Amino acid sequence: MSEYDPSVRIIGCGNLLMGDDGVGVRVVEALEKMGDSLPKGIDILDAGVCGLDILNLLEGVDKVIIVDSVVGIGTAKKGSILRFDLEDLLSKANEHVGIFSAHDFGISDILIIAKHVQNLPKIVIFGIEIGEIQQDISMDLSPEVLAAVDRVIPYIVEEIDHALKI
Amino acid sequence: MVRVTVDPLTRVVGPLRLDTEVDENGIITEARSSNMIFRGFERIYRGQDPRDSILLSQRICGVCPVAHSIAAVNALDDLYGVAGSVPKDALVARNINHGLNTISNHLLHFYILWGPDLANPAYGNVLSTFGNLGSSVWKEFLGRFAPISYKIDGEAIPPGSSYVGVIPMKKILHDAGAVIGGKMPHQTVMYPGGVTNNPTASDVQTMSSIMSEVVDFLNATSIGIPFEEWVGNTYMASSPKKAADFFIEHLHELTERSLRTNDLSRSNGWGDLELYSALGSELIGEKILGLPISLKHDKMSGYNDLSKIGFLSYGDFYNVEHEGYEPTSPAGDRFQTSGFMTSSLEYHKFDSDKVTESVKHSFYDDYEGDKHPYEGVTEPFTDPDRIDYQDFSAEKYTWSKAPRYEGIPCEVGPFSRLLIMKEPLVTGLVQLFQDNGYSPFNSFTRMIARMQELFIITNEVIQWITTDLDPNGRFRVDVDMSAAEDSRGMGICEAPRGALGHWVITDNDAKVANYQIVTPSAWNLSPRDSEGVPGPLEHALIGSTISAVDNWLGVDFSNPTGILHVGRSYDPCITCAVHTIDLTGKNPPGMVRLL
Repeated sequence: MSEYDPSVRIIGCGNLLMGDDGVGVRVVEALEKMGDSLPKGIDILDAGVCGLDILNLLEGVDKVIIVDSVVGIGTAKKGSILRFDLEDLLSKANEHVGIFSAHDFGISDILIIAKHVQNLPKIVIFGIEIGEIQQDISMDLSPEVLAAVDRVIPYIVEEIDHALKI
Repeated sequence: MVRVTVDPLTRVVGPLRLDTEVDENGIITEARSSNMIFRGFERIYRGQDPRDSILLSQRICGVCPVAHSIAAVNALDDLYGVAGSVPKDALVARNINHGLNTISNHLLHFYILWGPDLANPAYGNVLSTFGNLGSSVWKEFLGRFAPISYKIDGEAIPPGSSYVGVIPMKKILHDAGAVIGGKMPHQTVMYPGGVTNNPTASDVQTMSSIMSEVVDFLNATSIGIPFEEWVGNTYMASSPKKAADFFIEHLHELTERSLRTNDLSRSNGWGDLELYSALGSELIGEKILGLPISLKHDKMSGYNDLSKIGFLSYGDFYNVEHEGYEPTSPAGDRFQTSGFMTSSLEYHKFDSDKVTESVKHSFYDDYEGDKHPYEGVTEPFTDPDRIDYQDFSAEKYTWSKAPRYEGIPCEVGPFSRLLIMKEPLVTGLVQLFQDNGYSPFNSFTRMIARMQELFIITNEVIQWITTDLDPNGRFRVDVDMSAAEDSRGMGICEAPRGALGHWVITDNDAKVANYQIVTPSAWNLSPRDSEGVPGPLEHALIGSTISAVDNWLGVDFSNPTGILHVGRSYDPCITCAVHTIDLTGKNPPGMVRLL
């Protein structure tokens, strides 16, 4: 992509069948519905839980915005919205230890791998605190997390606008 | 007697739970494999247009979606009566598509899902007792296979060169899958009677250059001699003995060259495969090459009752010498031939009527005895009182059914396929292990077979792309939709992990009346059947040691490398097949974990 043709991709991650874990996908669905009110030159994707395949989605654009659920930010309340730059996230995720988690790719693992194997665009992550990992199958979001879907949209639009004004 | 349960707690894919009983000597005496997720795809298809199964089935598995689309399209070719007339070029295109996915899967398994276990600190502890050679081996294991964000005793370990090196291969193979399949994942090109796209000359070019990169990776990382030389002397050897001799001779040379200097580096000729081949097996490493140490993976999962295990291959990849194919996969018509092999290595022709499933120990409503997939039912049961994880012989403990071939549990996958197609290297190694009093069916031979299959399929895919694929060819024949009224179809193929079958029956509306899928992991991770006979993985765990290198440094119940290596050698179709919950590694406060 050239500087005259900036582009943004928004990737929603999560599992719609696992309740609040699906919040990232719910956000990109809401963005899709906004249609023409969003600027041109953006790409909106539901990446589900597609693991390493996400690496191919981090190429060919100037900026990537990732939306996913987060657990355990100390005191953050359920439904809180957190914004990380890539470096913030990786320095925290790096504290995560263990050979046995090597088989369970969360988005932070994917981004760490990506750092090692490719050049990355600007990456911003919006995390929505969901309080705890869901154990039961459900397609509903809890009220606090559902409210966060609407609240996060303006922040994402702002990121898009910012990126397009390069 | 200690109960060791390995149960992941992940959010992605159906986790596998393994319950084992371990005696005070660290030997596993009892094992039970539980698949903890219900899929129920068969129920989704009921009443639908059968063609939907091509698209829907790819959602079954994120790692081998192409294999499911092949099984589904084979079932539909049979259902619509066009299997005999699918044009050659369409068969070539399907082969390329399927082969690319298998290559990607095997690379992913060896390097991402299995390799990091070689960097398990337990091996470091054992190797450190073997002087300079031990330290060199450990340095190579860590330097090549360590995963990302890895720490040992609080010290950060940089990610391994092979681990990081394979990821770009995974990415470009993904691109190649999109070129031949329309998009990736969830391809759109499979259709009864052929494929819906005609690959162009530029597609051929793109795929060829991707395959060259894969070969470059194999040459730089996986093997220390040129890829062609390896394939020429093993897969194309004139006899199993010649292939095995070449393998041993090659390792001998490397060992001779390196023992004085303890230099096991890549620049000294040690590819990843040679490193594992020389050090993974007690027979090869210690007894034949004279090394003082090995990981003894050949002493794990040897099946202690050979009357209760067989090896099965449905056969795979179409013969592109003629148009059409026979859905029942008769012997000799496929590049990888079909067959059933007993544990005493007697070959029998494959007969799909002999495939059955029982549900006595599965979370489904009971039926008597065993049913062929055409008669199969998938009714999840609703009585939680019948779930029992405590008693190993108890009622119900898994979502997997128990597939059997003539009543025998079967190991499926690369090892079975190569054994049944009489691939020289695997056949020769099996002979070598048998002659030396080892069970030839073990974690070591299983992994060597997977790597060998990676080389073979790479070799074939290049051939299909550069020689057989004709962009000006015919890619489809018309299908008469009414042929699916009151009809049935069987689609069998070999997914990367083993035998995969889809069986479909339609009603007078040409809609699905019954659909049954029997996956490779159902074969390998099968529970006990209606006779109480355990499945292959359950069986393989029994008699294996729980800790590293035959419990070399004693028994460590908190780091059951034995379970990890036996379980993962089957490449279970579960992204996080076996986890150990490490209670010391609790998340520090303030830790951020994106889910």
